[in-house]
Amino acid sequence: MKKRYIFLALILLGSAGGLLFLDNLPDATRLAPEQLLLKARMPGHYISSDVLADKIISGDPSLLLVDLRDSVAYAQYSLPNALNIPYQKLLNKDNIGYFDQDQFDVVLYSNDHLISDQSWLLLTSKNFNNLYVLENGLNGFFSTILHPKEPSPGAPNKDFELYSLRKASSYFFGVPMPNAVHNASGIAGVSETGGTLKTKKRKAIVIRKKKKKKIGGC
Amino acid sequence: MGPLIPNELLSPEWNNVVALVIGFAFGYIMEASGFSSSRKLVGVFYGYDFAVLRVFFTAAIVAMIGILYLSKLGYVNFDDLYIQPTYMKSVIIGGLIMGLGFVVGGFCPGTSLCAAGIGKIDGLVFIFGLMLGVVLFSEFFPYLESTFNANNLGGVTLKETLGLSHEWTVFLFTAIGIVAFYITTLIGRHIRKVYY
Repeated sequence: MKKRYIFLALILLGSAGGLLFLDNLPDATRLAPEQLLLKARMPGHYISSDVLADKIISGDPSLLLVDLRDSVAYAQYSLPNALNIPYQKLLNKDNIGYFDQDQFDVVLYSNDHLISDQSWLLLTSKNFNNLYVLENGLNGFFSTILHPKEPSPGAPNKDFELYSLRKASSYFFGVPMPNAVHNASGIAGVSETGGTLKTKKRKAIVIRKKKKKKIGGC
Repeated sequence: MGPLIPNELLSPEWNNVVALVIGFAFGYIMEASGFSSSRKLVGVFYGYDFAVLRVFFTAAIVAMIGILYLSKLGYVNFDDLYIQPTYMKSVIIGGLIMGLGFVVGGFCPGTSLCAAGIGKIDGLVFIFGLMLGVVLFSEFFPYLESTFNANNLGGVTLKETLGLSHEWTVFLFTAIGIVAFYITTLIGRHIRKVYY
């Protein structure tokens, strides 16, 4: 056999063998730790109750609400049109499609924002985008939108405007107007939980990201 | 064009120029290595010339190694690459038809253009047949569509099928290739001289 063939074969084997000693390929199903840390430190993934209420009221079609609490809590009260995905089942095969998409802005929430923050971190580390966390969770939503605190008489006018806006929003979410509560004394305590809204189980049609098709051949 | 344009080392206007240069180089090398002769090409079927096997194997190995190095050095994002889905049934049927055409016609689509380029009549006839096949296939596509799209396995690669890492797949494939080259060399020793 000619020497040059042996030489060429050794080059091929050597370069293929060299691959074994290089670092592994970066896994696209996971975000690099530095980037995850950077993303987590940016407050951009928090959405405040006011912004969320505005989006819900205006019927933003790109919004996908995900309730991370258990089904019992979800049945008691949740935001309108929210999906219930308990955080233990976050990465189930049936649920992952809701997060691995670029059609919706997914807003995660639980009672506080601890669980939703952890879930956000978990999902973002899997390189999913368009994920948001409701700041202070449902409790925050309750205390700002459904049950806003009346500003003190000396507060600036801005606070009163915000208060009346929140009060009006709360009406949308099923909290009876203050006068209505006083008149119908029989239904006391309804507004405390913001009323029980009928929430239909919504099925989001998720269109998976498609890779661009390229044509090629011999 | 590969890692150059997405990384902005070249502007997209160069796409066609680069394609032309690569095309010239491809045609030149095919002609220089005798691939415009149908006797050389069908040798792999009759067992007297294994140049086709070696060329395809080498091309696959070089591309595999090259892509992995490029992605490891950060020039290509491996997961952005489009992987042609595998239609197992269609691939087998199509492979048989292609192989039959190859052994009867003596060319593959690329080499037939090469042969026509140096003025071979069989190359021209082959191109005519190729175009006829394209037209017929397109016209009868509605009837063939279910076969065409049968048994879609998705964009599977050897990595998933074998359960190995990319690196080991490439290394094993290279080793298999070199063994195949060696075996064909051994066979080649027992073959009398062929005139192309």
